[in-house]
Amino acid sequence: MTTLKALRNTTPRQTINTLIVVASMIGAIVFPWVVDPALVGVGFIALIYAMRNFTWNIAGGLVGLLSLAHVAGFGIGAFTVAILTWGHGVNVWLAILVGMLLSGLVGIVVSSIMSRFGVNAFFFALGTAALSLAVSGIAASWSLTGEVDGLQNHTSGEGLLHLQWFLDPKPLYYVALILLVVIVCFTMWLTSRTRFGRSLPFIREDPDMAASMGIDVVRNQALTMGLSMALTAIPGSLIAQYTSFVSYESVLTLEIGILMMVGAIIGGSSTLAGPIVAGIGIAALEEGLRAFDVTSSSVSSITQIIYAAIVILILRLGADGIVPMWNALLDRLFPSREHHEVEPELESNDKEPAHA
Amino acid sequence: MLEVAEVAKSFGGLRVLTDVSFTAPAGEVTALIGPNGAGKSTLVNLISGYLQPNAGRIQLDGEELTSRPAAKVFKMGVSRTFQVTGNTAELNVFECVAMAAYRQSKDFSTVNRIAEEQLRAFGLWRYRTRRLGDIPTAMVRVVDFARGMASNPKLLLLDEVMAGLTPAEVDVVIDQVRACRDTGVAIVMIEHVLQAVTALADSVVVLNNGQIIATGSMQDVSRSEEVRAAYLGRAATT
Repeated sequence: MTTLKALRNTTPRQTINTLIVVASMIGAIVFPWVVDPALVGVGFIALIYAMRNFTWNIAGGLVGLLSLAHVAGFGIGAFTVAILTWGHGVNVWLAILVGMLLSGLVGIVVSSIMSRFGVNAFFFALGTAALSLAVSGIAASWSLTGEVDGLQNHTSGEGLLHLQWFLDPKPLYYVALILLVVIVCFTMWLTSRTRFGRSLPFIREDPDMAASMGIDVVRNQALTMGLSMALTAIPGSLIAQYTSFVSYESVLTLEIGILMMVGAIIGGSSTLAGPIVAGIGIAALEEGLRAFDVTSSSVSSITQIIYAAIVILILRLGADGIVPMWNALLDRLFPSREHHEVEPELESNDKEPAHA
Repeated sequence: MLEVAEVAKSFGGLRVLTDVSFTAPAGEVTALIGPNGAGKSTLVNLISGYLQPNAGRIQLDGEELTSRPAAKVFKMGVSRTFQVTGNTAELNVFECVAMAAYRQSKDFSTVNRIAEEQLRAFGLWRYRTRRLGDIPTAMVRVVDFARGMASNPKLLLLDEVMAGLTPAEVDVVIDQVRACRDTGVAIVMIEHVLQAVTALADSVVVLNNGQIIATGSMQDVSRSEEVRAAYLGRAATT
């Protein structure tokens, strides 16, 4: 324990970031009560974006697996709820667990196959994209998944047990918030306290060296991919409950997969906070553009143009992403006494802001 | 005790090692020297399971290391350092050492305590929060050494840990190697820093063109005609 305490020497940057985290948490909790009810839905979407960026980043950022298979996990989460709960009356929470299990299994299998063939990052991305396209194609042509028409929610149960509220969006918003916090805390615990989690940066940086340190690279990659995709199923299930409609076009497009990846990268994929910041930022941006007197049909394309501009701008300023840039700025403003610019990686990552 | 018997390795048509045999007893330092391209690093890669030999056997305390993957070789007690640590700049110094300590214990606080002990012993404690990319290159090799020790190995492979260190730093590392040897670890080190080889090596194995041309004490080896020829060229001996 003395070791831990010694590691935890607080720097101005950590203090500021801790304050920001606390402030954002309070902000997130009071948000539904202080804004226009219509904006609560936007808050919910922001949390979903944050959650799917974050869960993508567990495989993508921590281990460096450039996966486009995660959209399949997102879709599996949504469709499992639609098929089991809406179609067969299975409890929604149980359906979410089944979705996570299925999605996690896909992740483990995909990663194991890729490892067997020893593919590099580009082929990993292409191979996983192909998988997502295949899953999307299956969903569009299978009667179980409603083919091109998708599936509609006609259940009438309301309340936490059914994860459905007809008039008030606040409860679902809080469910998403709590799940996001739980996922983040779990990941922080995993990456800082367990051998498995601590081995992930070694696998990302140099798999050969990791192996010579006794790390089972193939197994840990597969487990991370499985965990990451299992968690990505959660936002998929939540969005299904929110919209009460699921089709291959709404949850299984490659675009969603790319958005997860890009969101995590522009936020700062080496940090835990980056993907969350980017997710919330993007949701706010989309909403902001909607307010700018843009007709609703063109919102999507204008968002994408601005999105592209921001990505280019961030890559121009520093390829590490928003949160690392923010940290570098704080370090420049408040140089600490003995170790400026260098902090234990996990320590600094844990305490990042979760605000736009 | 490490036993390497008649090991051969070639890459395509290029024969890098031919018929290499030597032993490295526990509690002794065996120095592996030879000119560049002699096959020293390849030999270390073979022992640590990075590469597999085309022929021959490698055993540690009678246990077969040949054809075992690197992670398994590590679990069996072989720890190594790396000559090139190019793409590890993002890794945290403390985590590097702590990760290796998991060979000794599965417990979080025990692992951290071992890492702390090793970092302090090597004078690296002040670097603990740094990234490998932010500390002097020479210190990265010392971190590598500390990492090797944290796993409590039976065999430690040191690949040019002294390169680039100041003479004072070399002395610190020499003391560490001695302390490590005295705990009964078999140490095989590739080294160009003669100060270290002279001070540490119980026996020396000289490689040239993938073959062992001399073994013995530093004194014996340095008298060998063939060794002089390998290092200085034929002209120097005639």
